[in-house]
Amino acid sequence: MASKDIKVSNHIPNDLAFSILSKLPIVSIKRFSCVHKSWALLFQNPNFLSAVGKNFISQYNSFYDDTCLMLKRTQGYDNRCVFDMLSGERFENRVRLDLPLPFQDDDTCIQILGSSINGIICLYQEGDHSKIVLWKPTAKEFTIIPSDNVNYLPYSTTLTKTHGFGYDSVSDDYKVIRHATLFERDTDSRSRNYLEGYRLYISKSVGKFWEIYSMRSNSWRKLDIDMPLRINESVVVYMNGMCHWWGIKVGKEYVVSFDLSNDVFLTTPTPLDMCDNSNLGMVERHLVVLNMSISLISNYAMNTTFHISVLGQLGVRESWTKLFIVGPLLGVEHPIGVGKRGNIFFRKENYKLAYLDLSTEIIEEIGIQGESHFCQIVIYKS
Amino acid sequence: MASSSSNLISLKTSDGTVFKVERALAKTMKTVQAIIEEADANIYMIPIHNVFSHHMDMIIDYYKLSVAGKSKEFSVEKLDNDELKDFLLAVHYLNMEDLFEVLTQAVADRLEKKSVGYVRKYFGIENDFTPEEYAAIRKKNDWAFKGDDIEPEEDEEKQEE
Repeated sequence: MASKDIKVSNHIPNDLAFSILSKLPIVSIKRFSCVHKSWALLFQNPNFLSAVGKNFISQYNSFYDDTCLMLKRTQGYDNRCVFDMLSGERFENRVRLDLPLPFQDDDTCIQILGSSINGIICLYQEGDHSKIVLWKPTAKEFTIIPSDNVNYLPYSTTLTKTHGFGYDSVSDDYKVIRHATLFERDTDSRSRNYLEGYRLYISKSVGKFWEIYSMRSNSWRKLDIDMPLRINESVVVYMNGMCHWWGIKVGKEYVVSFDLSNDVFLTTPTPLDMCDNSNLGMVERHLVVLNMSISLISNYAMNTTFHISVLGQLGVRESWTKLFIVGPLLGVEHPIGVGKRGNIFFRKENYKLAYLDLSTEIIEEIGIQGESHFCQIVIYKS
Repeated sequence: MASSSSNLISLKTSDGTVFKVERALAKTMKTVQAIIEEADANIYMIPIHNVFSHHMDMIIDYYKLSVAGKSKEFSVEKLDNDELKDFLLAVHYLNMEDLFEVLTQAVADRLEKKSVGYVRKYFGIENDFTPEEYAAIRKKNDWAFKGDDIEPEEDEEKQEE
């Protein structure tokens, strides 16, 4: 870098400045862009980005102590689910989990919502989100969340979509957020089994609203709020009293962040650097938590180069910071979850599961196969 | 191989103090190691510029702790920001990898919430933005200035929120 710096005593040489800056949190580095023009350009220096990324990933966070992974895999055309707990440095310890009672008769299309909170996992079934179960596998306990709801009208059919499971420390309460759409009742009993199928376009929607379940009151409460809806079965995350999901409204995509303590939400639009209308095709986005920061893993469809951006500040589009570009990764499909130390899990084309270590950019297989597309890996902490 | 009569290397600091250190410790200083390797004859005393005796005391402390597997116990808490910078510059000159990582992280931790103005002074850098350029980049990164625990900018303190 050209040195027009006026030398004062103990002037810090550039290479030393680089080393210090790369160890700062992103928000500080961004603020210090205003120190000097050469510092404003640092984020365009791939070596600097690499150093920042490695430091970011390896920052110690006590949350990840004593955690293991919960893996859900599906088998067969009807997507029957099996759950395993993985632990050990190379995930060599595997324990098959027995499904909680409500799912023993019907183990198809079960989804994990978020990750564990105090050892509790929230499960629901795809298609008909009305069966929601809070499960504590280590204690073999479960709670069924009531689906009956006084907010529903007697002459309607309800389609619900779960959006978040979290813990509100202010009221010491576990909560689940859900969006409900009411339709005129359809006399054909098959309609309840269609996921957003054509029948629902024929029925008239007579109401839609958000609702929140509180474990303390064991009931659902309507919310007077208008938030972007979750995109399909995209990942939902919980962190520090807030539920986050990837949502869409009027064709625009956002990270939606809902604060469980005060029912207030924020939206953060997608980063500006990758957009759908470029000639590279559609952009696929995966919302994840990397070392306690909301992050987005993006790739152009059919492309296995992944761009990973970390959000500096909720609600602030300019604060997305791209820290990693990895790939092309051979034989890899899409991310299925994130472990600790920023290990990103993928399913490979040969059905084998593997993880990418962001600090070394090496992919390691874990010796497990995931038969169909719908694998999920979440961090489990009892 | 340049050999000394004992296993100790003599290092002379800027303030004239001579430290006799173990060869193993001298090996962690790449700058010193390069001097030893380049010398054809026995080296009697190696001068280390920019390094003062109080720096060597701390370096020896760190070395003893790391040999005992207790490098995490090493602390620079008692140093103020300028003393820490001074020490880091000495360790940087000596090219000591592990201690360098520890000290750069310590400096980063001290600077995390500081203002742009403070950081300029600390690094000895002059602002090379024009007022317009500064206003633009300041605005672009406005979110990074918000936060109760972030040191306010000197010239911005006068403005009302």
